[in-house]
Amino acid sequence: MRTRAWLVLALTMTMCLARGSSAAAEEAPYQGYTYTEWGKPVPAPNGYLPDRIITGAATGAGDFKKPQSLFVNQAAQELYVADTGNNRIVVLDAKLGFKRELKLFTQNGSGNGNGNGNGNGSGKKQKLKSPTDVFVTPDGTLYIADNGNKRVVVSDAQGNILHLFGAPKSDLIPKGFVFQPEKLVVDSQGRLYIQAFGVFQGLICLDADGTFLNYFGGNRVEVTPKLLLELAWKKVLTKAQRNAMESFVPIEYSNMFIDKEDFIYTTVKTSQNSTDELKKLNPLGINILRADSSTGYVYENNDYGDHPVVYTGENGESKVDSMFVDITVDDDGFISALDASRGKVFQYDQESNLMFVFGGRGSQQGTFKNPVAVENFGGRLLVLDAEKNNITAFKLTSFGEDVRKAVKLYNGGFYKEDLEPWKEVLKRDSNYLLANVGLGKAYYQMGDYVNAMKYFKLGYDKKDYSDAFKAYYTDQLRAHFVEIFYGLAGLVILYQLFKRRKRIAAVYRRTRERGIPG
Amino acid sequence: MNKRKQWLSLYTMFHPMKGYELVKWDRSGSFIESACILLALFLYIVSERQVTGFIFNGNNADDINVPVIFLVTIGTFLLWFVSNMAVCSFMDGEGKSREVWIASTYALIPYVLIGFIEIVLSNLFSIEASPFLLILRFAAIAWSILLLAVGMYTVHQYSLKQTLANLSLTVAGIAIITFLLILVYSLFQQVFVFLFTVYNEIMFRM
Repeated sequence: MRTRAWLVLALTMTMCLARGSSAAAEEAPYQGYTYTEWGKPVPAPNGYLPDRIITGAATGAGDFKKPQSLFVNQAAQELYVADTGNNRIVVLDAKLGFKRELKLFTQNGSGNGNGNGNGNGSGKKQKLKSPTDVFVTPDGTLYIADNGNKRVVVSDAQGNILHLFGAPKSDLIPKGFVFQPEKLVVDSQGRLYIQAFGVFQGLICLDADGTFLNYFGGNRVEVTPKLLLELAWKKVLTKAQRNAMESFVPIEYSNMFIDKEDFIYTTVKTSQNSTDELKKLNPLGINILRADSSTGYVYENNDYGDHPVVYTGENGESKVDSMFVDITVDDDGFISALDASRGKVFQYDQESNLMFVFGGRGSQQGTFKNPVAVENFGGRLLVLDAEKNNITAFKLTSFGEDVRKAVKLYNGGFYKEDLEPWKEVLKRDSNYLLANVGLGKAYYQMGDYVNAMKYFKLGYDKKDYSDAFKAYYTDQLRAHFVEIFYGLAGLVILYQLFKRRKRIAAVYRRTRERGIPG
Repeated sequence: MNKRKQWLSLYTMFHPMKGYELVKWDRSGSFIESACILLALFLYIVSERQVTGFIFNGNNADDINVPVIFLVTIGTFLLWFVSNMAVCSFMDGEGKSREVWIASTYALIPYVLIGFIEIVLSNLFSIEASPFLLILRFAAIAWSILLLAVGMYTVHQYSLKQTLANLSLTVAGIAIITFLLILVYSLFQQVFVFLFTVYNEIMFRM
């Protein structure tokens, strides 16, 4: 008995000690990391930590059931949760308290639509069925992807239906198309961009009346070894055989976000080549999110998220790659993308520099089971989990704040002012590539080329290093021009003397023999 | 013919015809010199990886494996030598193994020398000057190949056509030898795994 009591005591003490010593490092159930210029992951301080967890019951709205989407109405400071399993939209206020819920919509005489909603159901109530996404314009108009009813509901803030959009009609829409809208955004002109199930041509773009305009920003078919092989086969096969073969289609979008300037940020479902997983589409549907900088792990092939890892097990090889399900951009232009395959949030700046990675799979606070949506709200980053039925709020750490401050100055071109913020960042994370480049640019701007070269080298920025190198040598040449000039002149004179050494020796001998004349 | 025993490799670099004639008929040229050249080649490959200026260096300095580089450089040379001897045996080449060895090493001189110059320049140039380095690299390779061709031409007493055939067949021979080596390696590995499994099974049942 006695020994056992001792054992328990010793065990408790060790646990206490372990807790005490590692408390600072164990604030989060995940380890922050970043990628080196060689694509190797290295540990980094955490930029975000879990702040609190918000369940449906805690807000006062009742438990969520498989919620699928979040939307922030900036103008009214409201958070919309598409509570798919409960067939409702929940609206929360700035403190994440329950404000109201949207379940029933009134169809008045004015309501019309192009599909199954006809304009004559005066006063008729319309229910939602598995709504998967919601969008609210600044004037308060609601757009709901009413997935179960295969339509898009457009209503005013009071719940009066303005439009019901069923399957769009156009020659471009395949026959027998079943319209299952999953995600939607609306631009400032009132155009709708809908990502619907099974549509690989791009986003379905409707104008304000629900008329089909075009497919927006379609992806390309990915060139994979398998595709090339099939193409080679198709050259030699008959038409009937060709038709029996698998057809290759572009990847579908999985989610999108629209910013104030009508740029649409998109994520795609699993990409075979792991390229262009995140895109920023301009109004022409062209991707303008490019990784041009030499720093960070996103190389020219635009591989966002984690690098694909191939595991070899008993059932052959399996590839695990990031699969982004949601994307959001805050007022400073920082892009947060949610990777469902590993339950992580990746944050990038507008130049595709990786800033933070946080989250993971699990059941602790700050990890997820089935994360589906990410949104910035009230200074917090919110992540919605469809299996845990809750929202996790993340807050910036002081390291995160330092990095954000420095990156903001850096992207604004204030390199000189950025010196101290970057130094602060480097104190805590010497692996931070962009910090080294930022310091290099600051020193370059101040004319300190030796330091600029040093930091550009650490930040692996060859282009800027070359510029600093050139400026350094030009400076040296100017500063020591006199020395260099006399040095060269001296060399020429020495050479000339060397060439005439025999004559000089002869003259010398003669003068010795005759004595100095005069 | 005047005798040039010392620095024949450098002389050959600029006077390939005369130099290789000396190697062939005068028994000039030394193994010490060719060993030095091979060592310089190895040193050049390592320093090209580690000492090239930051702007032009695309290698991760942390990921260096010197034994592998040694095996690759010297191994490739040995492959060339063996393959060339094999090819010349059925192509009526008159070269002795000593002559082929020395002629081949002497042909490496421009590649190594210009390479070292390139390393020095890469530390002095900015990124805009990269075409000059490319031209140098191209010149070095072309020069070396030319020397190799002249060397084989002289040593084996070939015509021009035969020389070209010899060079390309040697390259093909290298590919075949590599393939066979890999085959042998994987077969032996399977045999080893089999024996190891049998050993394990016996040990578990004892």
